[in-house]
Amino acid sequence: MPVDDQTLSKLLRLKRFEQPPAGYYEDFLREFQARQRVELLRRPLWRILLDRWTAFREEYFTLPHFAYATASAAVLCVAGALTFNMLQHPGSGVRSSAQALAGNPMIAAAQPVAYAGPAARPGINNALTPQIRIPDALMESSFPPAAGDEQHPRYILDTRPASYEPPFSF
Amino acid sequence: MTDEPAPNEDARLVARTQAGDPAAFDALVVKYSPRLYGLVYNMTSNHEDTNDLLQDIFAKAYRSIAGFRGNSAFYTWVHSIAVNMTINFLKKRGRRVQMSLDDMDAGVGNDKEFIELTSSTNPVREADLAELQIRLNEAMMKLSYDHRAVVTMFDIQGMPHAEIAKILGVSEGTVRSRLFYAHRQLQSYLEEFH
Repeated sequence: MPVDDQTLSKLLRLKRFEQPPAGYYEDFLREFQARQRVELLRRPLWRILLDRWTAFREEYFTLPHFAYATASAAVLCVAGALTFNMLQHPGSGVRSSAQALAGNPMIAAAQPVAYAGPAARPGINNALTPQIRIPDALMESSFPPAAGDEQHPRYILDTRPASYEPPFSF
Repeated sequence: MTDEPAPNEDARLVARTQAGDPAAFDALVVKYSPRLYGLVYNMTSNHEDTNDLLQDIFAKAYRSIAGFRGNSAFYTWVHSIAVNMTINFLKKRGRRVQMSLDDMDAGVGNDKEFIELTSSTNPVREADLAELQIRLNEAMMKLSYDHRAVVTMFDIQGMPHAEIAKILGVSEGTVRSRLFYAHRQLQSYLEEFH
């Protein structure tokens, strides 16, 4: 004979009446409390120390709840202001530094002398040396003509200066 | 069994427990131990296992209550702990079933609902109640853990589908499906007896 749903439900509901002996729940609570006390006594040393440190810190180093939020907000505001400033004036930091350097007379006096380029020497591979092109205007301003150079140009040939003196003037 | 506990009262007791009042948690233990006893007992079929598990369940709830934020009712939360711990226990225990379901309350004969269930109009009136218990428990123990949990909460404890779904973390459709399948299995197991 098959068991229909209604009969099955009634059979299952009978199981509600399976209860522990009288007084079980009172004993259960007492047992639970005793167990809790035992667990408290059996706590590891690191846990006890951690709790004591936490209690000490809370007593003497208590920060208000909003302190962390305020600090975070302040950091965000400063970061936002710096970012905004950089976006509004891109490269301003570099330019201002260059201007400051140019305005300094000590630094202006110590400007490097322009490089005239590599001298062509025999035995040196000139193709490996860097080719530096210096504008003529810069060359003129960097190297003012020396006195007497207009009348007697000097040439350097084979590392020996050319002489315009008579070779045998005793 | 079907009456829902007052959530406000539970919330107050939980808040007091979180504030460091152990007496408040004792009140929660007193309130929920019969309900959780029925849940665990009908899933394990063993009184000693039920007692040990119930201690573990409340101990775990007490340790975890600081993290309880009240997103669900305490009732749902503690039932979830109970179901999960019981299923874990049953998985560890395996198929070693210890039947000790012989503790029917002595005063049950005076219970109105019990009388109604076993009245002369009921088809089980002549059945031996002890034998009935044994057969039912054997059939229950043949169900899977998940199906057993659903049958225990719905058929025995009278909890609604929605509450069971919240406790198990599944949909109501899954609960109904498990119930349907579990009933079919139980019916087939009980056919020989009936």
